[in-house]
Amino acid sequence: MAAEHLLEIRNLKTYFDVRGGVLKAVDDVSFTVEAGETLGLVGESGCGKTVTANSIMRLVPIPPGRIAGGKILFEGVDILDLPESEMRKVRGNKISMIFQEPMTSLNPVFTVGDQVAEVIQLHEKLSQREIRNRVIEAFRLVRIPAPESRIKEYPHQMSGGMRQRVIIAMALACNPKLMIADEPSTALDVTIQAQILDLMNRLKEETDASILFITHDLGVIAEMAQRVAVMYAGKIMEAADVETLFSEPKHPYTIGLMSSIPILGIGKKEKRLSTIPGMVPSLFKLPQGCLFHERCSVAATECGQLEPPMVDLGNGHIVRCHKYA
Amino acid sequence: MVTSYGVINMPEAKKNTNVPLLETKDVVKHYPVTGGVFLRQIASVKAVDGVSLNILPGETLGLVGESGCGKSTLGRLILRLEEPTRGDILFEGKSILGYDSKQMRALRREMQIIFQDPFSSLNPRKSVAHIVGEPLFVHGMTDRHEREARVLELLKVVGLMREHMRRYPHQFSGGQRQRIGVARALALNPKLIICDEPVSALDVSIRGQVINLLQDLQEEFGLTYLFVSHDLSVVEHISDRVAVMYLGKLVELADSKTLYKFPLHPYTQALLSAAPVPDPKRKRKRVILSGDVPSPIHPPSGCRFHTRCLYAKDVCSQKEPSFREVKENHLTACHFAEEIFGSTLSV
Repeated sequence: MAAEHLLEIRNLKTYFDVRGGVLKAVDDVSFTVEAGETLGLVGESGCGKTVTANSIMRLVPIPPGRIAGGKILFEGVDILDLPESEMRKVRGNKISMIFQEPMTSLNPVFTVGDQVAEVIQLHEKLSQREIRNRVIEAFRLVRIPAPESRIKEYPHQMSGGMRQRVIIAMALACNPKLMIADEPSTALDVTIQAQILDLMNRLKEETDASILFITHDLGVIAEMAQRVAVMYAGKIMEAADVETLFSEPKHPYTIGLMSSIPILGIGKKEKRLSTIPGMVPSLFKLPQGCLFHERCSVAATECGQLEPPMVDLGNGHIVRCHKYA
Repeated sequence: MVTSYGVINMPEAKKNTNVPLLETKDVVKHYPVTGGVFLRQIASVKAVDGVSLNILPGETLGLVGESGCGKSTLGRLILRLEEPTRGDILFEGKSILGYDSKQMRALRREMQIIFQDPFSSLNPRKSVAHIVGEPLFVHGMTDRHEREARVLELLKVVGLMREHMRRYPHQFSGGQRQRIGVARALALNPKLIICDEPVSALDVSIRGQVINLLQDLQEEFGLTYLFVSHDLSVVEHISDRVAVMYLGKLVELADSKTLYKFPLHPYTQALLSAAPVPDPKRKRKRVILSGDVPSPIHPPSGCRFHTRCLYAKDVCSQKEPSFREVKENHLTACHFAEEIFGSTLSV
């Protein structure tokens, strides 16, 4: 095996048994996150990106969910095999998560300081004073002004951007190796989003943590990630380093996505936006063969029959398409 | 671009040749904040605080701003879904604020709205035929067959099919639901459609489809849009002119190309530079604003943006800048617009 990866996901399958069948929310997904890098995971709603994150954190409710196969190796250990008591030591400590909604992911009846302290208390044996100092330090790290007084505030006393900073402080409190950020800036306004993204980039350099960055926004991905994986209907369709992916997208879905967003700064376009016809297939009724063939402009007959293999184009650029096989 | 209303998107042609379809004059909307034992009014939320703009026939006016800036409230005021506290709203030159409910009902044929959330703006217990047919029924098309024929026609216009008529909203995807919302807005052949974040809840691949549909319909029916959104790139794509709002006030208004190329107001500049661009190679000089949007209950004195502005000087906190024409057809509310324009030609 090549050099040790911080996180390696091998053929992960997360299925949900529901009335009406089996939902293959994540189906045969493999990727790695190296130490100190940001991996972007992009896709539209329902493509399985959040379920992937929850699978890594072992937060998928079982039942109806189940891990139907695959391995999640974190520092070489398959965390799917860990007993819950061991998993608790990983969660929030070595791997932490930043959620999308700064409104709902904080408890409204505790002060924000207490909520950050809880994480530290769980994982480290420290005195109250030391914990308090650690909380203030974490608040300072995420550039919350006047941390000594802000720790006594309740979530409703803070703005959306400040709440998201608290969540990031919570995620950073135990110096994790990996942070999973699930749409951390989606619910925020553009100017606040810019603050948070800038902060995350700086924190990554300061703390040397890796980030798995999940978003639907290609613009955000372009600014945050070093490598990007594109998901569609539970599968990874393409992965490459960020510059290659944006300059030479290979998969018809990636190409379609890139050309369907209006580019800022050229005034009103006389041209129509190019679009991807149709819609994301329901996970109940996935098409035969390539999952994208019904919406694909270059689909051949084989695309409707055979599932395309993952093709390696070199330099870590992989694409799941018959065209390149 | 040429529509049945004549040439648009050319500032020269706009001057005095067109009567605005809609005009707001210094419109103000304050919501009371009550408190104390007797629930007296103790303050007010200044949601919209003196906005004057006009929308010309056949054009798309984009309205951008962050959440809480009052852009949606302005849209609702125009439709009189909310009553303005002060100011006047004119439709085709006539003030609509004095209209009684009967006149208002007639006027609503001319002005329609498409809502942001296609999941909550359609009644889940009614079929598509009912949802789209309701405005027709309300406005006197009582014959069921006639109504259904029109509904079918409308569904075809927005790219839905006959078999969709008997279905219920939950059977549709987000993009299709938004199409139903568009069909409902079109039912009465309106002149003006307020699009309140019509694509914000949609996925990227679907968003383009709905934007294209809106543009096609505009060309086909000569519609006028007020396009309210926080998404700068979508607004730029669809709008002829763009207005930027901050804390209840307009800070800048210009045609789309000029505004995005040569923004004059520091807030517009910051907004543009904050928008993430899907191009990893494009490294830009970024203006990152510090702090949050102040509360609209106690907006800052003077220029409302001075607390976050990079160029703020003493005068900014004392004197409110007027919303003035700095260059031809380019209005902005900044004391230093000329100097800023000289120093930063492009973001």
